[in-house]
Amino acid sequence: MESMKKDTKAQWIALSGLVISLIIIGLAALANQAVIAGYHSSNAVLEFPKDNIRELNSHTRDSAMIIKDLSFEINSTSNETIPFIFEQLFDNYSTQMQALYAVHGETVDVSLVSINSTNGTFGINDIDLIFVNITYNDGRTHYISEPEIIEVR
Amino acid sequence: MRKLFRNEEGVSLLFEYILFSLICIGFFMIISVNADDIFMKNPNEVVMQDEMSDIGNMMSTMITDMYLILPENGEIATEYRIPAKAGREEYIIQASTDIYYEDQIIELISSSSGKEVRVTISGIATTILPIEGTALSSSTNHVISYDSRR
Repeated sequence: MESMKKDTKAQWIALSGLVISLIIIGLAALANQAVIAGYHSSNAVLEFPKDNIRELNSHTRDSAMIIKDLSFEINSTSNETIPFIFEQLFDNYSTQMQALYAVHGETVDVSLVSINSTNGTFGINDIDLIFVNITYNDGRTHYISEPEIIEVR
Repeated sequence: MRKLFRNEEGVSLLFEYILFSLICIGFFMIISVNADDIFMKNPNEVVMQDEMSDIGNMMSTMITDMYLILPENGEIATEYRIPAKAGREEYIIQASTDIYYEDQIIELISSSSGKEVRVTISGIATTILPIEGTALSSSTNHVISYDSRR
C-alpha cells in the first residue's frame, strides 16, 4: 500500500481521464436538452395535410379541363348532350378520387354543382366556368370549398 | 498525561477533519437553501422556454400553412394537440389583439408564473385575415378555423 501512495507516475493519464469524463457529462446534459426541442413545430409541418388538399384542388382543376375536352370528343360520336357526358365523366373522376384518398385514410368528396356557359348553349367555346364542391376530411383537418370556381376556357 | 499534551503528531489529521466537516456543512447549507431554485426552478424555466417557443412555432407554422390553402368560398378547420403543461405550468395561447403588434404575434403566457413567450406569424395577419382567439392548454380540444363567409 505504501508504494502505491508514493508512486506518482502516470499523472497525465489520471488527469486526462478526469477531463474526458467531465466533457462527457457536459455533452450528456446538452443532449438531454436537445431531445425535447422542436418536436411540435416540426410535427405540425408533417401532420398538416397542406399538400394533400392542394393536390386535390389542382387535380380537380386539371381534370375539369380534360373532362370538358373529352366530353366534346365523345359528343361528336354519340347522341348524348355535352352536360350529360360531362356529368358522367365527372362522377367517374369523383369515385376515383374517393377511392384514392380512402387508401390514405382520408374522406374526400368532389361533386359537380353546375356548368356555366356564357350564352346558354354548350358549344366548344361557350363553357367557361365549372362550379364544384370539394370537401376533405382526415379526422383532424376539415376542408370545405363550396363552390370552387374553375375556369375551363 | 504531560506527554500526551506535548505530543502533536495527530493534530493535522484533526484539523483536516474539522476543516472538511465545516466546508461540507457550509456547502450542504447553501445547497439546501437554494435546492428549489437550482434543481427545480431553473430546469423548469429552461423546459418552459423551450416548449412554449416550440408550441408557438407550431401555431405559427399551422396558421401560415392554412393561409396558403385557404378556400375562396368555404371553410377550413384543423385540430391540434398540445401538452397540457409546459414544465410544471399550464399556459394560455393568445393570438394577440394588441393594436401595437397589429395581430402579428402569438403569445404564450403561463398563468401561474407569468412567463411569456412571443412568436411572430410572418406578417400574414396584415394582409387578409385578422387572427384572434385564445386557447387554454388544458382544455380538451383545440381548433384553428377559418370561414370565408363569416
